[in-house]
Amino acid sequence: MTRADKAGLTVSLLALLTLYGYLWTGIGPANQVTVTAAGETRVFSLGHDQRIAVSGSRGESIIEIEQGRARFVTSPCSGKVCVHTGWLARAGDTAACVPNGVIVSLTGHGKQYDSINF
Amino acid sequence: MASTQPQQTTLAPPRGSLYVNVATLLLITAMLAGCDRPRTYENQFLAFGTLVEITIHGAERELAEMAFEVARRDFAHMHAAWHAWQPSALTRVNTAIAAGESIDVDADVLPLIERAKSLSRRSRGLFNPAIGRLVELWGFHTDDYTGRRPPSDARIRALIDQNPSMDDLTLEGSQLSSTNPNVQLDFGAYAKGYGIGLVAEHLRAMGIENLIVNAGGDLRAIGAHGDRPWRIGIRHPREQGVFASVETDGDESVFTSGDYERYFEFKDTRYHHILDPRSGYPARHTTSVTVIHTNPGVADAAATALFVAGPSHWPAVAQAMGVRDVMLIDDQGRAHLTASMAARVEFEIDLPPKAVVHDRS
Repeated sequence: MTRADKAGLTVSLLALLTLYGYLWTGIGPANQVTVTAAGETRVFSLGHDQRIAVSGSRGESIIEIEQGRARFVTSPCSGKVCVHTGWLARAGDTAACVPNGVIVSLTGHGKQYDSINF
Repeated sequence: MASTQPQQTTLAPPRGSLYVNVATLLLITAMLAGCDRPRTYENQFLAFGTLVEITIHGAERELAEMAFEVARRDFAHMHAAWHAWQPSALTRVNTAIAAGESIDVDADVLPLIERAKSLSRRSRGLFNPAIGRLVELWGFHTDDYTGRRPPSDARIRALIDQNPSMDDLTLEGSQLSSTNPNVQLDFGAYAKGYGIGLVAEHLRAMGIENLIVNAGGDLRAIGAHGDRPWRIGIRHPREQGVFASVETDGDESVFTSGDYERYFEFKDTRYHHILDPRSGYPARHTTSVTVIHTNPGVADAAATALFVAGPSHWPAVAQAMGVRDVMLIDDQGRAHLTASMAARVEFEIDLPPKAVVHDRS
């Protein structure tokens, strides 16, 4: 076995371990934002800071993506439960504006819980 | 790509062996990672006036997709039938009661009334779905709380003096009559539990063995996530994120009633939607109550009743309602737990709340 072979083997084993951890243990960061409104789902990368305007049944909700997190900035509802939910940072974190029919949730491999009770 | 040149691989000259090794190992890696393990499917939608999330493990994709659609339709149907303030099978019942007339109750509503009567009695009246007028007086029959202020003492007193109770209702078959025209049914503390139960049963009948039905944070979990139990995070009642977690076993429902769900603030006081049927005011001294029970309807009603009972009296009411696993967070931030709940709750924060364990024995 040449040195190059050994190097190749090492790289492959490291890749194997990394992928195993990522795909089988479910530990990893959230990497996408899923935004659902009016029956339509759009997916955005968490890596790209931006503000997104979403049209719901009552009007426009503004979603902000910043530093790998996402949140409702404004929404045309009275309770503002969605805005008060604050930043979503982990896979599985979800906020919804029920009156405007908008759901924002983070997806990725890092879901720590199967469901959240509150 | 690599699989198209297997012959060349075995005959490859030594200089190419590095690439061959890397390619082969990466191929094995990819195959390993992509092995066909049971998948988890999730679907979120708005129904029942809240966010519903269905989680299914180990079923075929087509079946899971069908189940999401069934759940969506079931919740929409129940929402329309049980709505407490928009015209529904339930408001027809309320109209008849107010008019002093008896009514043939719709089959969608009948089981709610029957079960709620029994639960109300077991809760010593602390779970009381007959106080619809009081809920309306406080303004919780709308989602808009802007500029809201508490109603006057006199108006609250007037409704309390009428003493609406589930015991005022008599059912003969599906024929309902009331001895008290001031009874107005509002199943806000029970319909979600009963509804989640029905949807989960429906999905199970379709052949789905591992599932979670979560509506607005309350849930029923059946089966498991493969070789490990379902893990449920319990959200902090005052801060963002999860502060505790439990694992469910077999078929269990986890319900929490909190003062943070629906409320308004007036002159620095929080007025929330969990009303004490004895005083007519939002129940005091409790921040949240989490109940785990095999029956989601019981879990829902008990979470409300124990919230109203408060930090001193909840153990007796829990016992009367046949509820074992309870965690109450009081207004000082202390956690009161039954021994069985203390044994299964894991606190997930650096500074867990001061815990008081109530042992019945």
